[in-house]
Formats: sequence, structure tokens, C-alpha cells
Amino acid sequence: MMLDSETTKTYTRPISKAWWLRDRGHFNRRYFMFLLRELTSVFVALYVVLFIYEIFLLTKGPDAHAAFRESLNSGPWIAFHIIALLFALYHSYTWLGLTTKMQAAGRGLVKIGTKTLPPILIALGSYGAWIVATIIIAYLFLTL
Amino acid sequence: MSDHKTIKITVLRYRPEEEDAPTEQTYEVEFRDDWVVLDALNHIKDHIDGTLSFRWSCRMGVCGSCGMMVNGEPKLTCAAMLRDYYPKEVRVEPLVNFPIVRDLVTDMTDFMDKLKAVKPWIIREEEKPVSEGEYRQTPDQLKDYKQFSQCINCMLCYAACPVYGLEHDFVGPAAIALGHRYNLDSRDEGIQQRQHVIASKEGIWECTYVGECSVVCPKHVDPAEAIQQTKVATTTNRFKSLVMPWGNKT
Amino acid sequence: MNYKEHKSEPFWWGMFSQGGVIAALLIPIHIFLGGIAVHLGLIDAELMSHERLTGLLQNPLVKLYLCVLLIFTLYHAAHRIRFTLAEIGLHSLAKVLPFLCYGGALVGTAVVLYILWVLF
Ligand code: SF4
Ligand code: FES
Repeated sequence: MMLDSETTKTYTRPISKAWWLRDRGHFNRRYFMFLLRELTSVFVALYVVLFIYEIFLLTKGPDAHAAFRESLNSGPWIAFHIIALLFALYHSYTWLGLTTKMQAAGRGLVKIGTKTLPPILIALGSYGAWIVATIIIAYLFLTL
Repeated sequence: MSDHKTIKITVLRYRPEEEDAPTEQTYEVEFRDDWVVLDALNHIKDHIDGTLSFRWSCRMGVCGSCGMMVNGEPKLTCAAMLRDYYPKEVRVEPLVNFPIVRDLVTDMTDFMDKLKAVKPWIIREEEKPVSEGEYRQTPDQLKDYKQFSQCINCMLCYAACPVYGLEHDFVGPAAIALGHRYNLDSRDEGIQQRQHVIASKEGIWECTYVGECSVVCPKHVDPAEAIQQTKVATTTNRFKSLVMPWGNKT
Repeated sequence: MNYKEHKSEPFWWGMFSQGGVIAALLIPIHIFLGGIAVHLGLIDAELMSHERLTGLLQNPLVKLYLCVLLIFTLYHAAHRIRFTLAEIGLHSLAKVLPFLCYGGALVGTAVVLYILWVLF
């Protein structure tokens, strides 16, 4: 219905402030999971800043760095890293799954000739790349 | 043998000449196994309370006019089986994020304006004369956009979208998906006429991929992916034109 | 409504999504190795010692790798944090958040480059 908004008295229920917990009286689990997904970025940021700080300390000599490492070797910091790891894994899982979903819709992202590549190949490719990258980094870190 | 099962239907009501804010009203109706929520509403209107207002037309999921919130989720009420909720009570509310005109009827002017803005029709730089025949297309070319052409403008995706709820200027899922549908059509040459709308601040860049639009869409249009694909294409072209400003821009 | 194609959003989004891929592929293993495995004794603590790490950083390829890893993920996080803050209640600040978040990432970029290529 098209109506003249000047003369019609309508009522709009505004979206709730904490809509990811409860929106206009209802809880939606997917909204909540969305917020968790977005929250992964906070842990990525914290970890990266910590990483940069460690590289900076390396320039300050062995003692400064050893003290920093010693403080990381404590319950709270290990707990932080475990939580950060869980969020980082959730980021990997959701992010890599996204390329698959994009491939599955309409024309998709990757076409060979006139055919859209099956999404399952994209899934294998992106999750496979994750495993390969993880192995390479671990291998280089342990052996270089 | 009559075991009369009943089900409670609570409806959000808004009668602008009587009240300044919505109230709710509960009706108890007979429960029938083969009824959809829309049947119960029609039963209420015909037998209990003739003042209840709501929209519907086709009763078969093609007209897109019966969208409402059913227990908090945007649904086509002609496709929402009562038995999926029974014996719990069913709460029917108008689609959220839209102004309520009366009871379950919302104002869709905003969506109509946005739909028009993306020019959801085939645009040609130059129309060829009818005598030269139709614009032909292969099945593969049809497949490129077919999914995005299934939209019935029911606006469930707008009700599902918190980004639209927070920012009403957001062009929104269905309108962008329909623009994308024509951009993908091999017969269309209008992408440049849509891009300033679709790739505007209020367009794809507002979207944070909550993804709920694609979950609720009754036609599996997947507007979230339409938006993602448009972001990828627009970004790729932007970087290309930064690196090679002389390249042709399409 | 007067729509205008937005010129800078594709740039930020491009950085966001590149960073998203890099974070998805590489961040978990880094957190695990440096933050967990070494403290739980799963790997030799010497691997994270000053001598060992500065040794690694002599290699320009390692430096380059760290630049890519740290800088792109900063933009990834900045972009997401920008939108998340707006969505959980700071919608009225939607105009300043990009400056704050991307500004932070830009500063971070400078810091990373300075530490890796000037201090080292
Ligand atoms: S995209 Fe789906 S949910 Fe949105 S209006 Fe079209 S059919 Fe309805
Ligand atoms: S009445 Fe037409 S879609 Fe439900």
C-alpha cells in the first residue's frame, strides 16, 4: 500500500538496543552467533597488537623480552590465548565457509568457461588451504 | 466424536484512530491440522472479530503480500503451518522495521522507492528493432541470474535485517538482489545506471553480512550472497581501475 | 534519496577481506604456537627465545611475511570493529568510527613498518 506519510498516523516499533540478545521481544540465536562472529575481530586485534609489542621488545634486548615471555607464562595469559584461539578458529570456520556459500548462489564467483565451478570444490579449496597454511607455518616455525 | 482442540493466537493490534501505540489481543480458535496461520487469521476475521486487518491474496506463496512476524520470525503466513506451533500459542505481529498502518498491515512505500531506484528491468544502450527478433540467451546464461529472479517482494528479508532496522536508508536485501539479477543478465547493459545506487554508502557497503535475509527468504533468493558478490566485483573493479586507470571500466 | 557511488568503501572493504583471509588461514596456528603450546611445554621454550626470534628476523622473507600478516589483519579487525560498534549501540557515531578504526590501523601499519625495517 502506498500512502501519504504526512497524513497517515503510523507506528514503527524501533529495533531493540541489544537486538542480538532480544529484538522486539524475541531471541534469535543466529543474531547472537553473528555478534560472536563479529567479536572475533576484537581478539584478532588484541592478539596482533600483542604480537607487534613482542617484536618491539625484541629490539629492547634479551632481558626485556624474557620478562615479557615470563609474564605470558601465567594462568590468565594462557587463558586469554585459549579464548583468542577459539574465536580465531570461529573466524576461520565462518570466513572460509563464506566463499563456498558465495559460489553456490547465482553465477557464483569462479566460472570455468560457461560453467560455474561446483561449490564443494571451493569448500575443499579454502578449508584445504587453511590446513596446508597451518602445516607450513608450524613446520617452518619448528625447523627454520 | 468431537475432540475440539483449540489454539491461542495473539495478534498485535494497532488502531490509529483509537490508540497511539500497538496493543495485543488474544483469540482462541479451533485447531485444524491442515490450517496455516493465515487460515486462522481469516477464521478470526470471519467469525470472531471482523475489525482485524491484514493483507493476503494468493494463499500459495507467490503474491508476497501475507508476510508477518510469526513467533518473532518473518514468515509468509500462507505457508506457516499451525501444527508446527501447536500446542504452543502463536504470536502474530506485523513485519518489523516497517511503519504499521493498522493491525498487521505495514507501509511498504520505502521498499517500493528502493526497488524503483535499482531499475529492476532490462536496460539496453540501444533497443534493437522488433523486426530483428528477440534477445537470445543460452541456458547457462539464464542460470547465472535465475535464482535472484525468484523474488516475490514479500519484504521478509527487510524484517529480518537488523542493519535495515538500525539504518532505514539501507537499500536492503531484495532491492540489491534484484539489481544484481539484472546486472547478471546477458541481455542487460544497465549496470552503470544501477551502480551509483547499489554501490553507494547506503547500498552494499552498509551490509555486514548478518545473513538472516537469506535464512528467511521463502524463495531461496539468497540476497546476502547477491550483496557479497556485488562487493567482490565492485572492489575488484575499483582496484583494477586504480592500478590501470586507462582500462575500460565495466 | 540521492545516491552516489562510494569511492573509498571498496578500498577499506578490500583490505578487510584480504585481511580476513589472512587471519583465517594464519592466526590460529600463531596463537597456538606462541601463546599456548610453548607455555604448556608442547614445544621447546627455546623456540620463542630472544636469540631464536631475532635470528629469524634477520631473514627479510620473515619480515615480509610478518608485514603482510600483521598489517592486513589490522585492517580486517578495524573494519569489523567499526561496524560492530555501530551495531551494538554507537550508531550515532557511524560517521566518526571509520576515522577512529582505520586511523588506528594506519598508525599500526606505520608502527609495524618502523619496528621491522628501521629498528631491526
Ligand atoms: S529476496 Fe526473498 S525475502 Fe526478500 S523480498 Fe524477495 S522473496 Fe521476499
Ligand atoms: S497470500 Fe500470497 S504469498 Fe501468502
